[in-house]
Amino acid sequence: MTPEARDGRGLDLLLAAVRSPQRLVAMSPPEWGALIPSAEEARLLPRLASDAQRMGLTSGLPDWTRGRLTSALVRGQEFERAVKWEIDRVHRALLPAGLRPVFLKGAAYIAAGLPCGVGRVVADVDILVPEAELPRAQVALQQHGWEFEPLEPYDERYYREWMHELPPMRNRDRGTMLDVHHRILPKTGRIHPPTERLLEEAREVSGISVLSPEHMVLHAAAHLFQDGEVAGALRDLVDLRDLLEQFGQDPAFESRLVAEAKVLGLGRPLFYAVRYARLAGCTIDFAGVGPWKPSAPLLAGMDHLVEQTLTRPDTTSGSLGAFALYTRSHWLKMPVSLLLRHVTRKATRNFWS
Amino acid sequence: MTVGDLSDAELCGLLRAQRFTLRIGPFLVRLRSVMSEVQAALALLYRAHEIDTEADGAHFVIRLDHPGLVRRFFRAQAQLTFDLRQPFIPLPASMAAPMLEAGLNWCIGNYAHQFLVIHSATLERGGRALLMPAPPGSGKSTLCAALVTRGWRLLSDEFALVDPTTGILVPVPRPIALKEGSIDVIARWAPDAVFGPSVVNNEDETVAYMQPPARSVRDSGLTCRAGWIVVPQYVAGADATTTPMTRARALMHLADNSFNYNFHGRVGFDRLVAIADQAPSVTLRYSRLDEGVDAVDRLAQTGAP
Amino acid sequence: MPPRPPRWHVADPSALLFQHWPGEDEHVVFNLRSGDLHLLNPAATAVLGRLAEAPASVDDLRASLNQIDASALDAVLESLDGLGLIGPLP
Repeated sequence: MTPEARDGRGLDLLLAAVRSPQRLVAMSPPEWGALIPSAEEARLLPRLASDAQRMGLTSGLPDWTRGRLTSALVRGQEFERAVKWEIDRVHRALLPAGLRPVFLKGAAYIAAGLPCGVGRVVADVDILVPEAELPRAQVALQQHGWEFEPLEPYDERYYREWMHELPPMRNRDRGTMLDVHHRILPKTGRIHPPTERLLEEAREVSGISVLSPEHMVLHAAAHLFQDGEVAGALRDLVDLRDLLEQFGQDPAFESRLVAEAKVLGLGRPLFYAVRYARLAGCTIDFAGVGPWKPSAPLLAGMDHLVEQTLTRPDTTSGSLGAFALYTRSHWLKMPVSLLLRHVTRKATRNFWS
Repeated sequence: MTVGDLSDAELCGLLRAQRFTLRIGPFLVRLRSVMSEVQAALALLYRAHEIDTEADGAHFVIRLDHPGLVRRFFRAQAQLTFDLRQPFIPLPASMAAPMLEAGLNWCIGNYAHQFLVIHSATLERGGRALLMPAPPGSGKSTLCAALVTRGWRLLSDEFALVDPTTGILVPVPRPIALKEGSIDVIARWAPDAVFGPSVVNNEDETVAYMQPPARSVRDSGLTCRAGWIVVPQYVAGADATTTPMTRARALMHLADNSFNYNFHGRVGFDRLVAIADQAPSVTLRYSRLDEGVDAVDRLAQTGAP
Repeated sequence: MPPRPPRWHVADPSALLFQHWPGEDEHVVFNLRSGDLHLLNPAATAVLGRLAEAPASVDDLRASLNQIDASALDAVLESLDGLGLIGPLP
């Protein structure tokens, strides 16, 4: 079987496993052989490995399958530790300066113990602070070892003058990336959800500030479906499915979600999020998003776009950071120049991811 | 059945059909290739390795082929695909063997976290393991090649694989990578040793692989515990001297040469502590190979715990 | 330079795994939360060990660990803070 054919079959299996982890129980060795590379590529292998372990499947699997799953599980644990430590270090820098950042996305999911945080592959940490606090945040972070990545003058201007944002920062000691935001959607987009509202509703979970459940969902939806495009991959849809499934347990959640979508102007992205979360196996129906249903042609277009984007291999990032690749090349006895793929992170690509 | 039991035609056929699955220590590695350079490298360097004809899958599925039709015939290149990834840029076809070895290093270094992985040459004598944890360029491969031709069993020239639950060392014997002058040194040291072709790599260095001793490959199911730690330091012109290391420093050294012990949390730390505790450590400064080998042999006789 | 914090502490003593062999000067500590391993000299070991028991101010430390001179103590505290082994108590 060619790699391409394995990939297609692997993706089908991955989608099935994502929709229903029960599907893993009856999976044959050749199916695992197709699933593992696709799951790895989609940054979902540690998560699947965790599902398999939870269902008590691992002991019955071929040794090679168990080996790959165990390795992924261990890696997932390490990502969890690394993110929690990164949160700790960000607090060390910012709390004494009187700043309390709100953590977004992966860091929030992991710290809050959410299902989409389990076995999560995290590339960097994102925080939200009020715009007025950006200069102080920058200084405090620089005092604790964070530096701006060297940028082309064009990119530097892009961030600071046009977008009024801080460029990504890298910690000198750990090589980890930190994105400091003061708004959750690009200035150049059509929608501008007010940051003040997000910060007002933010809450403490396990010692860190995170967005409210409604805002977590809306933030994820806004990013995946901003400006009528699909800016993400299968993993992002799984996040939305997990969030909706988890928070939807609370019968009062839907009305709050719909109300906040109105306030923030994110009704259309929410509609798409709900619709395509069903594709990813969400069992809860949020009828309240009905008013934001687009016209039939627009909807058909989005259906097609989603099917194309989210069922294709994930090319948005490699799961090993640039720093890790650099240090490991030495051990492989291969010069860094040979490790071309994903060595450099395109700052603009990853900015809003 | 070993690779050496296959005819050229059989080997070629299995490789083309992606039904060639090699057992390398604890790993099943499935390979696919149409390249004669790959076939030749496997036939020679993996001669004693078992192939598994019943395997329903493998830990690592690797394809090593030309990146495209043009690069098959004109300035022929090789490209390695692991799972759905291509971690390296294409290289000249003559570099197929180093590419395969680097690919396996990549897999073991990044996708085998069910083990604690230490970058270390690992050998065995009398049921105990000698670890030589050291970064590339320290001369450990040369010393390792010399030792395996003097009665030491090869577990690996590159990795010490530690089972986190039991602390035992798991062999993963593969061809030994030698560079530049070391190739001639070992060829003179062990005239019967079998080498693959010398190839010039991307950084203008000559590399060649030494076939692992058949006995080492055959015994790759025999595990053992750490007995000694030797940190080799090649210093031109130096007489061979061994200097004891404190156990605290040995522990730091093991950690410095392991990318993933800390992925295993408390268990990983405890395993490294146990190794530092069980295995007395020394640094070995040397220049002449025979003195280096003698120093290690003496250590194994007198310092055995 | 930010003002010197009034008290120092170890956030989670159970996350620090100490290792020492009798007869050796140096201690090793593994921080489960950072995943880092550190080789500590006697002064750093004493300070970290003390803070792992209970929070203390610089003056407390000066008093109870009087074998360490003042500037060395400051250097040790700064170093342990930078490594994430200790932190200021808010």
